[in-house]
Amino acid sequence: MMKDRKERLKPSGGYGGLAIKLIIFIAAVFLLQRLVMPKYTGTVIEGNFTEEYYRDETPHELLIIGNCESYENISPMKLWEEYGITSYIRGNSNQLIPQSYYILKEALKYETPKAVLLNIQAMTVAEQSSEEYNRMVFDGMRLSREKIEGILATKLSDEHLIEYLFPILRYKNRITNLEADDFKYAFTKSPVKSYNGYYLRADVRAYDESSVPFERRLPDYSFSEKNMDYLERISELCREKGIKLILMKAPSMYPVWVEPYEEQIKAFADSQGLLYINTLNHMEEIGLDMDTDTYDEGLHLNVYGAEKVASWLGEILVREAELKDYRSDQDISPVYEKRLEAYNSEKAEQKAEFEETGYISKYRNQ
Amino acid sequence: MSYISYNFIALVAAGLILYALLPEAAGKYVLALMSVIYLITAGGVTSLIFLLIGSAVSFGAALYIFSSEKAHMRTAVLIAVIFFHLGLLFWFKYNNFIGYTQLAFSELTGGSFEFEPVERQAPLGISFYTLMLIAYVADVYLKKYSAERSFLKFSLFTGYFGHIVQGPIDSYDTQGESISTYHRLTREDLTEGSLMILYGLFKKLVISERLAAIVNTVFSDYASFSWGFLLLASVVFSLQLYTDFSGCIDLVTGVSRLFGIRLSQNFRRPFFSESIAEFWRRWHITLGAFFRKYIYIPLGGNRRGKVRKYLNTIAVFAASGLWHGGKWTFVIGTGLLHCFYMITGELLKPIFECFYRLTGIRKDSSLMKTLRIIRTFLLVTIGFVLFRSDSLTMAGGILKGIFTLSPGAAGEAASLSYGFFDAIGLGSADSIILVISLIIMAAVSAAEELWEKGAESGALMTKLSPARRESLIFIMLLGVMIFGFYGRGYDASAFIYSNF
Repeated sequence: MMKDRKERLKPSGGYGGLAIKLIIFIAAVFLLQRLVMPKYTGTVIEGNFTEEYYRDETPHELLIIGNCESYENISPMKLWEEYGITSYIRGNSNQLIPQSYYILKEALKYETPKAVLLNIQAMTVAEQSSEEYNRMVFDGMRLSREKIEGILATKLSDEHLIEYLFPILRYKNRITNLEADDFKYAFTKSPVKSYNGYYLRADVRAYDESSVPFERRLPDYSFSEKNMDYLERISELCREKGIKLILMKAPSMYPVWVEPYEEQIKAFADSQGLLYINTLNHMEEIGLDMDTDTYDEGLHLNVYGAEKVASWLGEILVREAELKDYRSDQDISPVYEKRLEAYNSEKAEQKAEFEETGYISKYRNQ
Repeated sequence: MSYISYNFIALVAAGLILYALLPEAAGKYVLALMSVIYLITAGGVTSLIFLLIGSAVSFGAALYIFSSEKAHMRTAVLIAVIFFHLGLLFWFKYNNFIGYTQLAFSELTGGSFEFEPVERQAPLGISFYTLMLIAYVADVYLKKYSAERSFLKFSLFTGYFGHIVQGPIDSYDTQGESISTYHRLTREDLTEGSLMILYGLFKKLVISERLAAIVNTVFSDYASFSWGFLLLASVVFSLQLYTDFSGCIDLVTGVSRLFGIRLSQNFRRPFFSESIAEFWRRWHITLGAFFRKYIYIPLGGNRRGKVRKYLNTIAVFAASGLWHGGKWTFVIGTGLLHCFYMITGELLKPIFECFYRLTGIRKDSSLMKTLRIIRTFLLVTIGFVLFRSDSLTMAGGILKGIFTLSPGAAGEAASLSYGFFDAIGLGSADSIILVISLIIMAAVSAAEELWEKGAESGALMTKLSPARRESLIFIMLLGVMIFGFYGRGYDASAFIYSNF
């Protein structure tokens, strides 16, 4: 019976012939997929952040997790420069709390930091607003159980897991408008754009209260059950691994962090015995000046603001999480010093360009 | 779940594996399970309930008719079944017909009648399975075959996932046994089925969805466009409808073929037709066959004189037009207009014969054949303009724009002010892909047409060696995967004919 079935279904050129055709097909799909995947080499570079983490071979004592408030408001290079802290930001645009959980869980497969600093602004975001944000979080993530669970937990209702596993199914339309970088970086990695996950901006656009988008009063400011559940999971995960979890609200002027949010986070931190730092309450102490320390009118800090936050925060982190000073470490120090040099160089270049032109050309279209 | 969805692919793959691994006796249960899953996920439990009720009514009625010797009771039961099925169909799909009729009349007479249609959620595939259920009882009544005694077998035929959404409208004597019989999976069925599926996806996702972009752009703002754009969009819609509908049929025929089931042919390169009559023998073949078999011939066909023949033709096309929907754009566009063409064609036949005789032009010359093909295509396109239009006014506006060579409200220059491709709503790269794809489809169709005329099997795939067919599967899969319009931002899962 089985023999008969095998005979009936045997491909014309035998199974070997079919295997060869299949291999050619898979190779073609792979090649095309590499071509059409977005390279994020233009004005939106955040799409590379998730993947860049895997390229950093040094261990980190501090992982900073969260959405844009995490990767734009704290400078890991300053943490290194002043305190010798080895840190990495695993954050992305509109990264949801459940996504942060899976990103953290995955990172803990590669390393066990002493501390995790979780920016909690995303607690206010119940659902993803746009597919692009999900894509930027997950496209660069290595295939893993965490990736699959993360996608299933946060995908929009009309998104499909299979389109994340085989991105060619989603990006195939790009075949008609490929750019030079699509070919250039099809099989080589594009240059690292962040500094340990930090998004460097040296331009300045002062905070202007009148330009803050109007925010409608909500009937209920309770965090969603899902976000609370994943916050608890993050806490539990850190506890299991012996990691000090610190909650933080970064000093972004908007979206407005209202009192009910603050109360809920405080209550959670108290119930879990966690340290919670709301930097909005320490603006003066940090030395933040929203006329000079933001590049987009208070939504995010620029490098000057992010360095001030790092400078202020570093002391707390060293004290609370007993982070070690690695500046004299033979293996790590050279790597970080080289990176710091590049960071300072880009900061200087952006500063010079901004002073001359009033903008940073590579981010001009944003 | 729609035919174009990852879930459907998973359903077919899982069904195929079960079909291959389970004992032969389980084959029909696998197909039944697949059909139930498909029906519930695509149309909801209500669709399944209505299908089962309809099937039970026809099943029971046929059993009674088959066993009863009382002629008047047999006839009464047949009539009751027809009324029952048509009643349900009318309840769900034609509840607005009177309103639409008043509206059409008002539009034609310049009135101001306003009408808000009440939409009812019709059970999935009701237009298709209603005809199959009526045909079954009628065939048993006419003693063409005996009544089925297994309800599972019968309901598997009516609810079979491969033909419930868009047909083909199969008849029980040709497909009932085939669907419920176990077919051993073979390499031939798997490769040919896969090729049919991919060719269907190519038509639907690569061609039809691109054509839809053009049609939607122009038809949604038809008054602004000049006659050239209107003509282009009208022609494009004919191609869209064909690639959409026949693409779906190829898809379900291919899926059925994987399981060894050979569904009835529903399209045979209709745009190669030289006359309207031929067109209806090539387009939606099973629908045309149904009306010919159950309306035209019982009414006397062409055996009772010309007037009666014309009346029968009108009856058939009115029914066909009405079947497409309870709006006059359908009744005229796919029914009465074609009827007009056919009767006019018959009446003018002597004049054409005289023309050929006097001029000495050979009727069967390639040039005349080509001209007749173009003429038929354009005539059909006029009907499809009505089919695609929301109202008779809209259809009239488009046709008037074409025939009066209107520059459009915005003027020709305005239409082109942002460039041709922006004007038609399809980018240049996609337009190139579309043109190449249409050339491929036309070449395949032309080759099949020539082979068929040479009394050979018409299908391209039969000309290929098994090894080449397997290679073609991978090439087509890659082509559809890359160039298909699907995923977020597209509603490729919506087939035009699934609305009927």
